[in-house]
Amino acid sequence: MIDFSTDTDTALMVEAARRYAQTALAPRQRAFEGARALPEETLQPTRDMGFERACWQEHHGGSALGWVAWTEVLSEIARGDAAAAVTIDSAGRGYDALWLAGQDAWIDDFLALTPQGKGAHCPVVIHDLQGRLTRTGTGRINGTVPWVSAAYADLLVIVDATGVQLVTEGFTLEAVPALALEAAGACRIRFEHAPIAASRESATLAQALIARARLRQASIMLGALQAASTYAREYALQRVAFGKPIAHHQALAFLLVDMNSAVEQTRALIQEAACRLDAGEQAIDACNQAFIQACEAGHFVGPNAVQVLGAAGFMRDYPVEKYMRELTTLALSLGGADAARDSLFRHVALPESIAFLPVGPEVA
Amino acid sequence: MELTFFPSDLERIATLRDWGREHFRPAGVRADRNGQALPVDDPFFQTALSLGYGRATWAPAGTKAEPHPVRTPSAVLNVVLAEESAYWDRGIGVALPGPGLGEAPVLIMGTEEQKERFLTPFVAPDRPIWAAFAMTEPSGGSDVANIKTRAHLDGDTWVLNGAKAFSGNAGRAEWTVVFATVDPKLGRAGHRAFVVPRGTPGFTGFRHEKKMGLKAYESTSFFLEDCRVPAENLLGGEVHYTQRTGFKGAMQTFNSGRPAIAGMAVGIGRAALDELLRHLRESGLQNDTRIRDRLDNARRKLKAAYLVALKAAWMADARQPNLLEASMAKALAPTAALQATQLGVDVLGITGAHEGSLIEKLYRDVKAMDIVEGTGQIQRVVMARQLVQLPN
Repeated sequence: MIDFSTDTDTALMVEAARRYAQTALAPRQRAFEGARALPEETLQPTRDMGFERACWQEHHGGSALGWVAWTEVLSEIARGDAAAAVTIDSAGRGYDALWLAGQDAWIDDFLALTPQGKGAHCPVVIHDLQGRLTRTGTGRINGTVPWVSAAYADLLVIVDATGVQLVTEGFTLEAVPALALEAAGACRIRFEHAPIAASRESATLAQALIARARLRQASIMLGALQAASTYAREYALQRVAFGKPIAHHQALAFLLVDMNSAVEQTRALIQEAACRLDAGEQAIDACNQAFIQACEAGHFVGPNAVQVLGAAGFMRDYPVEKYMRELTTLALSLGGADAARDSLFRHVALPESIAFLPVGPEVA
Repeated sequence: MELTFFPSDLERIATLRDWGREHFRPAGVRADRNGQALPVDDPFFQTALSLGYGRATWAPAGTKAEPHPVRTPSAVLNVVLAEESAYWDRGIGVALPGPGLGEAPVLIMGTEEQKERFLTPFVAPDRPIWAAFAMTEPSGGSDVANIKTRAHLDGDTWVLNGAKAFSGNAGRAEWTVVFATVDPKLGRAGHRAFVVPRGTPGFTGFRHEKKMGLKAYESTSFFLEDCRVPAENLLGGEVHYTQRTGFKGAMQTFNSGRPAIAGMAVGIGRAALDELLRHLRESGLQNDTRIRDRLDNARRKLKAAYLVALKAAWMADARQPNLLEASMAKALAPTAALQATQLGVDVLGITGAHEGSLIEKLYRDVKAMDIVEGTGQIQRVVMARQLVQLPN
């Protein structure tokens, strides 16, 4: 059945996320960026609403929310502030990696946030797709990751092309300036003979984890895309030039339309990938496609949102320059669109046919 | 949210796939090579009739219409079937017998008597017959409000004068729904729709246009020269035009035509990419990074356009206003499909551009999809009206 409707529970959760984002995040996003952090009183309501553990398994105290629902919620949060969405998603992102790689054993051994768990409160997932980190024969890691969106970490989940390693010590975080998303934290991480606490070698697992992380990232980008596109459109309806709103000059009208279409194309691919994941597929192809689409849309929508506002858009008085920086920064992570293209090329065999739907086993 | 198909729909798609492979693509390629539509007495059309084409979706009171292979009550399923059908040959899809685009205005505007009179021949035809629809004129297509063909009442007959262009199958149609205006100053309010039977005096000058692609069906231009049509052929009677929103209004609020056209464009693009895949394997180019990048881009854009079309159709089925989404699908899919066919031509190089290759034909066929049912630019105007209230 082709059905784009949202079930009642998801609709309520999305509406709660929308209200929170528009009242608690959007009006204060500049303050968060200046402080390079989100205050505790801003984050606490997300825990109260169950967002922190929304995607966790129920026996770990979560809601086992599906991908379709979570990607919608995440996008709504990101409409208010992309950095907040990165922060709020980090627990789910860390949990997802631990769960997929180590199931209950890793969750209980490494996360302190479950009833029986011990260890970390703040897992950070690092995707080492450029091979910046080296492993010694004695199970230690050296090297530097130049930028992660985190201010603190007590557990690092390192995902590279060969598998997953967990590190709980032997690393230091050093704050660095960043193009955007500073409210989520921006740090360089140095590893000095960091011992690997646990690992699992599996290229297939790594592909799946990276693909799922890209879908989360695409969902955050969708929120920023929506925010940028909507702000530009509303501004263009207010701003008058040559006797009419600038939105009514066809050059700008068509640009605004194309920006909106780019947002909707991104949403469509995210929804399709999420549906596939909810149906139990690995959906590597679909997740990577959604991420590439989000990156391309970001490069189109972000700068053009600034363009629509003209000189005003260049000023920090308006949020569109922030959206532009955020969209570019979000598109840099996980290796960026080119790494996702490599993933498609290396890991998804040329299909026998260009099949689109229905959701079912991917042709590979 | 769910993106799956019922088993019965999958069976329907599989059947259409078999027909497409066996009948539609060979017929479409044959017409393309001949440079003209297949003649009315071509055996292909009799085959199509035996497969269930050629019939109306309407049925007389107290009876039930036989299911049509690609026209269903579900806008979503129609997109899916249109995509699969166009994958095999979009031109043949239009050339197939039946009431075609002429049926919708009869169903929407016609009286019960008119439905029975005009559609009964299509309930169980024993030979292939066609009907047609004529709105577009030589002086304009999308600017529907400004059609120039005039209608005036003379006693109990209407007299039509004007010219129509690019009407599919009008040259072989039993009747054609012709739109005319009683007063150009009234815009759409002045429009009237008439069923003009073949052979009506003054219904004349039929000329089949020479096209770049989609040669399997006739795009026909004709004149109406003091063409007298009985008053009972005015669809809905005069009362319809004073009380109702008219054909365009009914079609637009829950638009299912544009998503279907988008589906067709996706089908052509998918065919091009499949043909390209075949070539890549045969020539050992499947691991060429640059080609894979372009292939993946084309795939992604086609899929996104397809999903947008499905959503627009789903909204139509759910009776949610979908003007924005329908136009978005119609704007996105043809450009994605053109990109896919262009990629095919590029990669196949001289071979691909050679007359007779499927890729070359698809490249010529696909461009029309960005033109019919409103160009991509017109779709942007429609979307801008929705998004930023762009004035008319």
